[in-house]
Amino acid sequence: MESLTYYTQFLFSGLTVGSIYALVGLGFALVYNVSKVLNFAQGEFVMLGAMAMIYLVKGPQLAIPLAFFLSILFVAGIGILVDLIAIRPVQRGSPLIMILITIGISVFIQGLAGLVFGREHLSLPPLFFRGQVITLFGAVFDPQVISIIVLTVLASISLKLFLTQSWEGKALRACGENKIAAYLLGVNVPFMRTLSFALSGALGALAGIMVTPICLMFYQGGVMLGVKGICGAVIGGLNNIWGALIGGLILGLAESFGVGIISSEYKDAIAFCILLLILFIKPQGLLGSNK
Amino acid sequence: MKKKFFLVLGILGVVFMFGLANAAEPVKIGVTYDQTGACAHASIHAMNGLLIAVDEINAKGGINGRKVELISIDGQCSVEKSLGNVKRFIQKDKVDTIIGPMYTGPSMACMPVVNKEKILLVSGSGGNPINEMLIEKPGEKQFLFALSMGIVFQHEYNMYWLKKRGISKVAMINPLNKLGEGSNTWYKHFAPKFGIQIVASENYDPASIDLTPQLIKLKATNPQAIVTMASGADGAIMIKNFHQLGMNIPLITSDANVTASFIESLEGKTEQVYAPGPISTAPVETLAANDPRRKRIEKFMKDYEKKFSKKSQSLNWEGVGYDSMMVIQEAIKNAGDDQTKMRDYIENLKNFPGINAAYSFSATNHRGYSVDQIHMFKIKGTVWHLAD
Repeated sequence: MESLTYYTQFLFSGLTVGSIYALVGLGFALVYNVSKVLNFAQGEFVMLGAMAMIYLVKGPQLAIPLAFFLSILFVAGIGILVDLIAIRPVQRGSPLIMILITIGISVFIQGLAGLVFGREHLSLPPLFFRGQVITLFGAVFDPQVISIIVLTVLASISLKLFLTQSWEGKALRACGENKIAAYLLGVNVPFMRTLSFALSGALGALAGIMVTPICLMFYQGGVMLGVKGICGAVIGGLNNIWGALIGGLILGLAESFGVGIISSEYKDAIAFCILLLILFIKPQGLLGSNK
Repeated sequence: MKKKFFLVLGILGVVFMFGLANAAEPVKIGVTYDQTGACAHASIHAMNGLLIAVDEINAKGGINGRKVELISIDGQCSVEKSLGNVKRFIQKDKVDTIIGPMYTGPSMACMPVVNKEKILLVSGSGGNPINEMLIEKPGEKQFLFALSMGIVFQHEYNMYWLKKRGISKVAMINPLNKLGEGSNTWYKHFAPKFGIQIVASENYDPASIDLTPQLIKLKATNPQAIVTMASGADGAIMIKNFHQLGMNIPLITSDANVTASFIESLEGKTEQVYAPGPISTAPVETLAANDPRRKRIEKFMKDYEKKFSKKSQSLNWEGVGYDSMMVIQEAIKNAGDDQTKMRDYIENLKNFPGINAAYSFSATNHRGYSVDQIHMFKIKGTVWHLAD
């Protein structure tokens, strides 16, 4: 019985952590699919979304749904600004230069957020299921995790539909495949990239708002989530929208069982061993296509 | 015409120099607190407390007729910058005494310099192993004092408090860093002294999002209390997971948590959460009316409001700044400004009343704290109150 409780708890803990990595990883996958750029400022979008929500709920005390949409709009706007100010002037540069620029933006946003929102850890009450826990065999589960997983699945489905069914979505993917060909066929390539940054800002903000009730947030809180989000997305396959979800959950479960069965000291080592193993066996990720 | 001008200038110069020689030279104190950087929070409060102490001293005519003059440079939470400031104070500004870094790394970096130059440095660092160094090598005279309870007294006090509550089985859970390792060592060291058995020990990565795997393992050993140095975000996550698992035993956390913002981050989940702290943590109105500490704290709070036009915000940090200056004043008043004599005087200072504690120093105690100057606090509503 006791060991059953243990394993159930490790499973729940892994799902909790994994769902957070999955939602963060989704934003990376989106920008990567459109521009072949890994946006290292994605973690900062997560942090900004959480901070904006905390500010709006605790400062002017806006209604939760209003604060929710305003925060998402705000970070989408930041995404657009990032593209217009920092990415567009160097759009002919190589992806490597763009990746370095996103690292710079990430540091800049952190510094600014520290000044504007302070350096304290801030928390947020959950949107649904306040103060309840699900208990099974003596193991506990935060219902917020269910909302996170449901939202991640919903976001993945809508993204998938958007990318495959709508003209804009197809144009976005075309830019990812071949910028010049897309341009010759009349796609406004710079606009599409701006759109992808706005979308990933919105996704990041959504992630921030959902994960803060579980793990709190501070001005540098996006960094660790961003790194784990990338790892999850790479494990699952960056060019498959479902990759981030599967990869994030695998990473979370590996960490949790690693901590529970082996030792806390090997948590990151276990997670990164899995990442390396998958990169050796299937470099495109578990769900990634071979193209 | 030109000659007359130089004559007047010369006379003015002579008068000016006489003027300087006649006025008592100020007591120059170099201050390297962190006004910017990730750790600036505590130092900014300490600086405000220090400014109140200086105003109070200068309003009474200074120390032995000498005004106090502060030379303050930002340490930026950086070891190099803090060390540079201390060297500058000694070589360029020729200060009398230094009030130094609040944080462990910078304060430890400054120790060899002040010991070599024989300049007194009063810091607020809790992690600096100053007392352990004094005990280990009694011959080496240290010039650094650290007015905070520190790690060791805190662990001894926590065990003392648990014993007083009749608790004998304790589980510990600590972060995987230097602080956590130290905490594990000190709990193992003090537990037998108070007849306490440590029934389980777990560690966690401080960047963890969920600590239920570790906590459920502790829970299985049926401890009567849990001790941890978790603070800030991992502290808040641990407390949330602790309540989710339905654990209903005292959870004793780090002294770093006795702040209002920590309570806010718990979102109301505050039952069974304890932390040790100095007396100034308690709301002043909960102290007995005839308690001399109450009068001191109330006066400080009034002066604070007058000077900064806002209420005192973090009394325990402000107290570190204020108490540092007051200890230095007491030493100069009685022993002169010779740094070695001042150090010897402070080492013999007993029961010196401050905002945070009544400090009793000795040749092996440069913190001035003792277990009976520490108190246990628990959260009532949105405020830390004295626990019984």
